[in-house]
Amino acid sequence: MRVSGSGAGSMRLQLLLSLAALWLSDANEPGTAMTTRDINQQTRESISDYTVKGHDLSTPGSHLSTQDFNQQTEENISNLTSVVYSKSIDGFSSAPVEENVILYNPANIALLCNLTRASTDSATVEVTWKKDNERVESSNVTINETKNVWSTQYTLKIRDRNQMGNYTCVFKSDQEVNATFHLQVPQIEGKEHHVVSYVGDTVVLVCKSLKYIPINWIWYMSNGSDQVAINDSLMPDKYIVDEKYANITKLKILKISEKDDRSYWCQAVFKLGESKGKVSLKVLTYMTPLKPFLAIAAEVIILVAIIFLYEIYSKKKQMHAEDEKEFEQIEQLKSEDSNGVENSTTRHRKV
Amino acid sequence: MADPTCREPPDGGWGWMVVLAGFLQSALVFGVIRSFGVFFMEFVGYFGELAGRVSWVTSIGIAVLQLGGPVSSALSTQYGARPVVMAGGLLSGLGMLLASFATSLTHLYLSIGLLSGLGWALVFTPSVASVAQYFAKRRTFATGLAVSGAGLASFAFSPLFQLLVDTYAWRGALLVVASISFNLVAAGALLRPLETEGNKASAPEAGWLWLPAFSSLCQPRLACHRPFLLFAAAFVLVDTGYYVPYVHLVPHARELGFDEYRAAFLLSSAAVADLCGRVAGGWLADRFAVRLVHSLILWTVLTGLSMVLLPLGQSYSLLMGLCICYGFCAGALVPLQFSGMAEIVGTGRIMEGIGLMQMMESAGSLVGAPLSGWLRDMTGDYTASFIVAGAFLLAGSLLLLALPNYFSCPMDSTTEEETMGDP
Repeated sequence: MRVSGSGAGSMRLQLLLSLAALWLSDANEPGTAMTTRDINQQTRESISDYTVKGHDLSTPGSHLSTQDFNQQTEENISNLTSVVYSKSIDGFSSAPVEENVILYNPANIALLCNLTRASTDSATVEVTWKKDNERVESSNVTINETKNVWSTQYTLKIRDRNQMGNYTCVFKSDQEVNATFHLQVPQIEGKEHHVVSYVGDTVVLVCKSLKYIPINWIWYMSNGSDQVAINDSLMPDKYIVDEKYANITKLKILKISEKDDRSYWCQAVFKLGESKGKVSLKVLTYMTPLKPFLAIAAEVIILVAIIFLYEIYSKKKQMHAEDEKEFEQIEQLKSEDSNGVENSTTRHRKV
Repeated sequence: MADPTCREPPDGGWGWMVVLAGFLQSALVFGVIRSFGVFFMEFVGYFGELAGRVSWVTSIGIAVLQLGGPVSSALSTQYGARPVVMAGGLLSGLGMLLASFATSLTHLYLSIGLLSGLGWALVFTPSVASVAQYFAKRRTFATGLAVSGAGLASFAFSPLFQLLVDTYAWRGALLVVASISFNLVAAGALLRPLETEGNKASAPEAGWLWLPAFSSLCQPRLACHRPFLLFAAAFVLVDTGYYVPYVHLVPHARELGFDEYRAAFLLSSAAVADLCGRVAGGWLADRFAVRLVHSLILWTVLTGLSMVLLPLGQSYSLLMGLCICYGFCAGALVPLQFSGMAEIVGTGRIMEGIGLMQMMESAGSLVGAPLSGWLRDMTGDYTASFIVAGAFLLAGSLLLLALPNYFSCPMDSTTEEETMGDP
């Protein structure tokens, strides 16, 4: 942000003080829920949005929640942008609390832990912060105590990937309780199921990162236990990477052979790190579906044969039965005839 | 040519095997069509085409199925139902087989749309007509059983097709579906020809074999038959509204605020109710001494009313109740439609009748869904669409009321004691 003269400088100071005042006023009230606030401000020289949001999730049990924020900054990060993440712990007997913090761009953040303790607990509480299970001593840590609420805040300026990790605030007196903030880049989801394709066919593997736009995408394929980067300019008639949109990457694999049956990773590169998503490709030959096809076709032929054979058989039976019936009828007629002849001769005799 | 005399239909015996054949063909034709949505997503992903262009694949298939009705009925009047259905089964399987090698959407239009569609047309009309020919007293029940195959199959085939696609990708899955379609040949083999004079009426003349088939098609005997025209026109109106809920129910539910699964569940319950309605409608019609036309009018009116009332369903339970009502009534009128046709034109000419009616109905069904979509775009929600669709059904039932008491087979002693006059 281009700033010129002292005018902008004094404005900066004013904003800092007002933000600090807001934080402090909230911290003084016990068990406060920090509500979402939007602070928009426009400077004279440049227009940027300063958004401050904070959520308080006071939960007695342990749960993992994901919280993300949208932030727009320019290349030179100003000190005025900041986000507060806070967690409350309800007494020493509660389970450890965790939270996922998704960071997309370099940012200023403050991690706030509040411990509400019962009056029966001992008065002395030791508050420490750990990064990745190593104790940190920092001047950016503030500790406050009011009545039964101990709160500690760790202000961080995240600029590079080394600062990402797990930050834990530990409250220790007789017992120990903690809350952990997992600072991570946005996760890329691959595909759970295999993508199936055939030898000689073409397949497109897709990875999406809808909410956060990565700087770059890199595709890897597995080679045994290693991961080898795919360079599509080296093999243009085999691999084509389509990057029409920045948040969707498509790897098109042409002329598939059985060697391509392996896992592929799409890696999204962010300013603060990378994350990978996995897509597996399974290659089949045409013989594979041909087997059930032939099996069912054979079943159809057998059925048709059975039906026709049964029809011929039942027709023969019917004709046989009809023949027998006819035979019986003829016999009956013959016997009637002979009876009739006898009667007529009797009549003649009588006359 | 005098009306062919009707021999006593068996009303049982081998007739039940014909019902089985009808069940199978209904399952393998309409069950496959209804479950084809699984392949739809795969085609969109693979060919990279718009959803609108891909949906033409099944639309062409259904259009050919309905428009091919007269051709199929002419062929089966000439050669008998069995060879035509078996040929149709081969064609529909062949279409899917060729589709599994497709490299562009046009290939799919031709193979699934044209070839399979033609196969389905050759299968559907003769199968339903055969069931009607084999039964008299229990005709409607038998027809109901036969057409219930569609509902059952669409339940079984949707997850089956999804499994096939997951295992073999869409090409292999189409190959397996082709072989499943070949079972239509076996179903056709079951259609033992009944020796009625009506089938022998148009004997093949010496010379070009095709000519007699098309001459019976071109002769306007049936098209000038007033009761048939009324019946068919009534069903053109019915078809215009009939399919609207199937197409627009889910979007309507989503607009009301219900999520995807609850909206889809509405459609599933309507489908289950449709299935029950088909069997129940057939059974009820044969059980009670009510004139078939009266039952048909009753069910059509009920379906139309439930459609008109659909927009009133604002809560989920009320909407679900109305959907079940619609599904049941819509299902019940299907078997009555076909056996009503048998009563009007007689079993000798039922092939022609169903074929011609199918072709006329296609006009209605092609117009219905786009019309209701246009209404929705004009008015902003689906209320007008459902009301207009219900109105079409009610109009169709009014036309049915105008049917005179006409039975083409005065010696047909299997109908109730009827006189030629008004009841």
